[in-house]
Amino acid sequence: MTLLLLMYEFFFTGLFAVGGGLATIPFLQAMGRKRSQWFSGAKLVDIIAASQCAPGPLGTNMAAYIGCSVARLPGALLSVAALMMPTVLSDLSIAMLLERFRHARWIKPLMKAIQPVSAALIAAAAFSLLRSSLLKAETLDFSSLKAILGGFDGRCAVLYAVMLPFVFCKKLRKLHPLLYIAAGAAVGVMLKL
Amino acid sequence: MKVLLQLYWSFFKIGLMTFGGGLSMLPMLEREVIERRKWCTKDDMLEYYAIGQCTPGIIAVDVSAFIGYRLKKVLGAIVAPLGVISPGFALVLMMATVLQRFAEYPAVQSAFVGVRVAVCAMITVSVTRILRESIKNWLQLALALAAFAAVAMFGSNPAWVVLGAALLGLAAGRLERRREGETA
Repeated sequence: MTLLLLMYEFFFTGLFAVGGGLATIPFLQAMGRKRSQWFSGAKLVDIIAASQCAPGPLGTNMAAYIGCSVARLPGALLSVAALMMPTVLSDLSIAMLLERFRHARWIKPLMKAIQPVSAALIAAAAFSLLRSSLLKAETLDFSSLKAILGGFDGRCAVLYAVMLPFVFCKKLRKLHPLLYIAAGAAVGVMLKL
Repeated sequence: MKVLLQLYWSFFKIGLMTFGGGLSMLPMLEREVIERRKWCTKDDMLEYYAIGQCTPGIIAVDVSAFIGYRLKKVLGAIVAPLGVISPGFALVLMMATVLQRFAEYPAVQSAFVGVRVAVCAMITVSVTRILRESIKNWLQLALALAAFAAVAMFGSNPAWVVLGAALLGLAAGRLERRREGETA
């Protein structure tokens, strides 16, 4: 039963996540809320971290991680297969009709509407990941400036502020994600965060 | 059979050497698929990327499926994506089992707090890039804001939001064509 649920959830994630691996994150977040016995919001950040350390596509790596922690190897295999199914099926139909697809006039307006929305979904997901990693509680108390500042986990917020320019810097951006993750882990151990 | 094995092996190598998904795969693909194997041209590749970005799912899977289909039809379109995901799949499984075993140690837990912050910083950068690339006019900005509000404030299911945007886009396209028909 769990295996069927995993397949159902990842099939839908694959179907609606337009724009690659990052676009699956909002759907994984919704999945974590709906099936909280699988993983929680804070755990999702760990899943993303592990998937970024491993080579290859982020989306299938995250599906493998979740599938494995829910139902071992069968769970991982079925989750990844279900995630890829809509992609491969749509690719096959497009490859067979490539000429017609290229000239179809409904594609452009469709994409112009979906792309900003997909980006906004990723932004909303990132926003709540930030919230769960940088705040002490789930929500921020906006009653006073002191309450707002007190709501942040101080050392995490400072570490985030220090790391951001490094990641934003054009020359350093190409560095391996593992480097940033290792740096984060090292600081975490040293400061006993 | 030989071509299928070559496909799997080439994409296995590409999957092994790329980190950060989708676009970071391009240089490896150029070297292996275009220059070494001559399976397609650069223009083909860019077209596969463009299609991958506007179809559901993982972009690396799209690109590999198209190249696989070119060479070996349906079987190729299955084997090539499998190659690209295999190395990451194996590594992630190992990490998932190992991490679960060590998760209780305090040092591992504080390491993970730092790792989460690093991931947040990387995601912040990716998100600003995606927003810049996909929002080109006021209408799109309004759509994005509406979608953000729907999900972040009202907790809507992201699938409905995507479906709604798709319907809007289709309707807008129809309207535009009808208007063109009137002026013509």
